[in-house]
Amino acid sequence: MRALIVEDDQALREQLTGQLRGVGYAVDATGDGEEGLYFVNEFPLDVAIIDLGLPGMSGIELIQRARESGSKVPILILTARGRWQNKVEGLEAGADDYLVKPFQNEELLARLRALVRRSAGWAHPVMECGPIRLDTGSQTVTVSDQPVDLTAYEYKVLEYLMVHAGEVVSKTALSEHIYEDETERDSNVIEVFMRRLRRKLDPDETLQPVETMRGRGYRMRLPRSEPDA
Amino acid sequence: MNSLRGRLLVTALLVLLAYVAVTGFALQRALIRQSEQALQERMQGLVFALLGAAEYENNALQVSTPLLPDDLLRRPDSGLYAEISDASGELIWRSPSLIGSLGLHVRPDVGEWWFGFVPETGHYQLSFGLSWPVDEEVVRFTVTVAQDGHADRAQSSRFANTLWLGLAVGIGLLLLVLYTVLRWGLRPVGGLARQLQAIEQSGEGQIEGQVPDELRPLTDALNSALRSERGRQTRYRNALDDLAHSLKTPLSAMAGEIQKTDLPDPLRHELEQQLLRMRHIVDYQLNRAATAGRAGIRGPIPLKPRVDQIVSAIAKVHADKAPRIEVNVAANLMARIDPGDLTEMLGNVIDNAGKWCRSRIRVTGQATEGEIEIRIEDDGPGFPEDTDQLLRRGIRADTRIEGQGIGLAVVADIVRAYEGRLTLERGSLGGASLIIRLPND
Repeated sequence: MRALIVEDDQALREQLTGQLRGVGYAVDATGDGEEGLYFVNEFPLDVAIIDLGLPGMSGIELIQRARESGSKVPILILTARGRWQNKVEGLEAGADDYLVKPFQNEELLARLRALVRRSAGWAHPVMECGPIRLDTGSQTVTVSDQPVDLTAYEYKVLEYLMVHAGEVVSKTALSEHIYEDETERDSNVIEVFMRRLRRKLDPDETLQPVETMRGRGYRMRLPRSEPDA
Repeated sequence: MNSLRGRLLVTALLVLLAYVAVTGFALQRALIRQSEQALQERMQGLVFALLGAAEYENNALQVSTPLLPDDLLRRPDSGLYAEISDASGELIWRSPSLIGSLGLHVRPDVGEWWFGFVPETGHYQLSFGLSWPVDEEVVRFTVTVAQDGHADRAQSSRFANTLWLGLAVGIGLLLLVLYTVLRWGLRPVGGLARQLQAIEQSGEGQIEGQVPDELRPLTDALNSALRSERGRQTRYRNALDDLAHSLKTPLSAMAGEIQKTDLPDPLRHELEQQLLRMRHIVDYQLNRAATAGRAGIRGPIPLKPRVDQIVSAIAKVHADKAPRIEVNVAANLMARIDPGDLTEMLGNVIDNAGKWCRSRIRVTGQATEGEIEIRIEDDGPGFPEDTDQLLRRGIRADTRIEGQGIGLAVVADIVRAYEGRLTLERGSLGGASLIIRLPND
């Protein structure tokens, strides 16, 4: 998952960046609204965290301009202003959720996961495609109720495929959402991850959960099914 | 008497009435006096003419009929009469027009005149005291001429009627002119009042258009008061927002650091609790300070757009639960409250309902007697028994559920600032029902 952080306070920005990277996000961070807008328009983001109290272009304006230019990235606003007037303005401008400073990191991570999931049309924190069950809360995966042990990168690849179940995901998109730097991106690595992931999820090769669409990318083949709430 | 126009008209009416009464009375008096004077002079001439024609014979002063100076004196009951009486008041001659006697009212001294109206006979009467030399002695007589006064009186009263009627019409016309002038002159004041009302309703704009020079200082002062009032509240809230931002951003960084560093769990927990407390204190006090309350010129604002706005914001925040939010607020329901305060209040209350509900929230607004009532109900677990404590505990609440600690306390503070009432009870959806009642005056 690729996240953008727009926060002018350097200490908080660096700390948030560290936190998100620690749980497997690829992170772009800036303290400037203009630059934030550039990231929103130019990078394939999965979620954006925007502070409302930015100098120069305000957070509200950034969100409005992002929505005007057609971006659908889920946005979480950070606000020091506890007043509802500010929250309502931010949500009306096009944000999807808010978090009042100071906040607990677990809270932030839970909100981000929920936003990403909801933006892909998943209403619940547990995603299911056939017998594969991925719990975004505990970051655990089971196949037919048997736990599967995945590395962080394997989990990220599977989560991305499941969030976009049924859609074709290109190798480039997959690597962009998993790695921040272009230098790290290598489609061969993705192929390696994919091979390992298939082996772990489907050791008998009876399930065939991920299709390879030649020249186009991958697709989670199993139909998504929402668990009963 | 609470209207300028009324005061001016009543005062003008009283002054006009007094003025017209004095003028009319004086005019009438002067006219009567003048006509009596003319009559007196005419009668004096008649007396002199009579004396010129009089002769002393048989111990009496007489005027022979053919020599009478006025033909009317010869015709009986003609309305013009003359008589001469002697020193004892005995009648010694009368004109042929006179039947009976005039009756002597006053006997003037020799050479003196008496003139007056005698109501019993309805005559104007002029008497002259006269001494007539007879041989060596002087004999005293009184010559009296009388004229019927009915015609004169009638003419005077006709004139008086015309005079008073004219004056009354004059008063009416003057008042009408004055009323028109007042209307025209005070029209800018009415316009000013309407503009101010519109500004109060909408909460924006200023007094514009042509204003008479006399009102210019007033409208300038009002405009600057409006500007500074609006600016003050905005500047104040901005300053509070800046303060919140600069206090809480470092708090966020601290909260993050605590999680990263390798602290023993009890210490970490303690630090987290303290940070949460600090956050609640900052939130609570800043929210309190930002409450506008009843001060300042604000017109009533419609409730429904605000409710809809907040409901759609909160629906986003609680998208996972996707509660069904029912809004029963009439489009024309108005409340006199600062928009920021209203948003703060509804935001906290509806957000709480979103947190606690299972699947349903209902927002109902209605005007009851002297009050605006906003009721927020959900189908959650409801309030614990001791609702008073819930309202009182405010920032001391060490709750981990975001907003619940201070949200209600903030709402209670705002409701108090508007001298309203806040009630917590069990609602018809089975969960909490929170009722905000604001005075509607």
